Amino acid sequence: MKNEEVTRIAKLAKIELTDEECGLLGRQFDDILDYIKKIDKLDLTGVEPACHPFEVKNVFRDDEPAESLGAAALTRLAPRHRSGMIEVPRIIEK
Amino acid sequence: MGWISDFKSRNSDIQSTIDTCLKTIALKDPELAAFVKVECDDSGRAASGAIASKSGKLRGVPIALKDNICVKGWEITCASRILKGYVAPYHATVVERLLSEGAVLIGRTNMDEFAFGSSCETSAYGPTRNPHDPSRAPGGSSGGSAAAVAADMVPVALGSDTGGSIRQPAAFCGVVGLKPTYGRVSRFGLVAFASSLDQIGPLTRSVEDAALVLEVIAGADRRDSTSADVPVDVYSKALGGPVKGLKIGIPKEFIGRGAEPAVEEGFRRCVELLAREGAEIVEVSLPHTEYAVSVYYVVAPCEASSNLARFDGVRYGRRDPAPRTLAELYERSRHDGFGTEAKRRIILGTYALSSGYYDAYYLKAMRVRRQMIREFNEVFKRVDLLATPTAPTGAFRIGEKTGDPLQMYLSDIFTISANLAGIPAVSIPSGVNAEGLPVGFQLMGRAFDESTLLKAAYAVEDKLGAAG
Repeated sequence: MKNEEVTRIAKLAKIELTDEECGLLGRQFDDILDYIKKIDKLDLTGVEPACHPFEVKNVFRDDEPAESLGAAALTRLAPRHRSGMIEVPRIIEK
Repeated sequence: MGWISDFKSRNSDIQSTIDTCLKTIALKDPELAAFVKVECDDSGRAASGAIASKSGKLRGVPIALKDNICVKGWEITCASRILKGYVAPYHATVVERLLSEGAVLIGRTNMDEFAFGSSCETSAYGPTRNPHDPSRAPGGSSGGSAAAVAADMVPVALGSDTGGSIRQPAAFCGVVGLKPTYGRVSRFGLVAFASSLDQIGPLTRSVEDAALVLEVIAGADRRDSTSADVPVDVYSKALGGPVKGLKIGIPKEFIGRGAEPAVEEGFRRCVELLAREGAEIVEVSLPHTEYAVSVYYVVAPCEASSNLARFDGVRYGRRDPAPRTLAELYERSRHDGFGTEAKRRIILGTYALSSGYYDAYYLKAMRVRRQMIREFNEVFKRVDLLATPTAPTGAFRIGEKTGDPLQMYLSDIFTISANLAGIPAVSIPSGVNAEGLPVGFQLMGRAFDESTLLKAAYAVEDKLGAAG
């Protein structure tokens, strides 16, 4: 896989890569994708995809109030927080 | 007799048992690095909810947990820099269940970063070493749990298994490793890797211990909607029952696939023991299992790329110190926080899910997965269990496979199918290879029929032990 393609996908995955990492991953992806492509020779016409091992169904419960962890306990876990909110760099320019 | 029964029958002193564990860890762990952190204080009090209680199926039993299972108040890092300093705000369901039965939680064990790996070498803390030969890997990703049990640091550890991460390290370290049926054990409080494959299970020194721990941790949980509302058996009751008449299938696709001679030999010995006890051995075919590794390395990275999107430097753990924009915050925090294997899998998964490639990779892999599930269902109409080796070799050397990810992935060739099909599987020691390293025997069973699976594993363990 070419460096530009690795960089494009890494951008989608929101991961910065060094040039060195890019080159290494590109070469390894070629090997891995080659191996994966074994499945191309299978005839899968009419086969339903399985995203789970068993049939999964929605599980409903009654909508009853219950104790939860609370916002304060969770915002405290963020690397930067202020007044019960999580702080991030400015996203709207003046 | 298993460790837990023996401990109970001798009415052993809990405090001295904890002391022995902590002493063994202090003695052996500087070399083996099975633990990320010992969390329990000298008295064990800090880590036990019920140490003073009179009852409890696991009262006083020291248990170590893989560093991807939440214990309220403990740091949990998944052996990743990106979660450094993150303290779990709640208990995983398995932790609540262990504590309510009186278990003593000793500490957190090392693992491949986010369970991405088969050798424990992708850990941000550095590798764990195999107690049978410290120049070798303990397997992975639950390598710390396997090594801790094998080195007598704890009698029981929990791991998680997405493609063999309990069974392969169990085989490499010469212990028992059980992956329950998908949905048998709640995943609430387990950091998600691939949500359609992950299961928590025990690593122990005996099948009986694995059965006793499963009895405690299994069962439906309203906080995990994929946990199954299927009654939990008293698995330990099934042990010692006859295996006569059980039909055991040998999938021909798994035999002669380049496994080393000692692995094949151990496998045959176990199958012969079962036959001698009256089990009927039949050859079966599961043609699509040939594609299991291909399917897995699409499905697992795809699910991982989605699950790990939450580690973005905003809400947990590590954040880049001086990002200029929000995008830079994400990209740099993830660059610094994730190791190479995590990046490899997240990017691979993102690629396979991206526009233009989704049909060619993800959709196709899910179709092959359906075919595999169908084949397993068909085969289990004719047989009760399937027998294979656990891993193609004994433990490899640290560093031997890190340069070649595909070779590393292929070390899970025998274990991956059970995750894709959701069925339970267990690895037990089947002997040693020419280098004196343990090798493993794997049994797979019908969904939710852990009783039959453990009964057969127990019979093999018993007879193999008697044969010396």
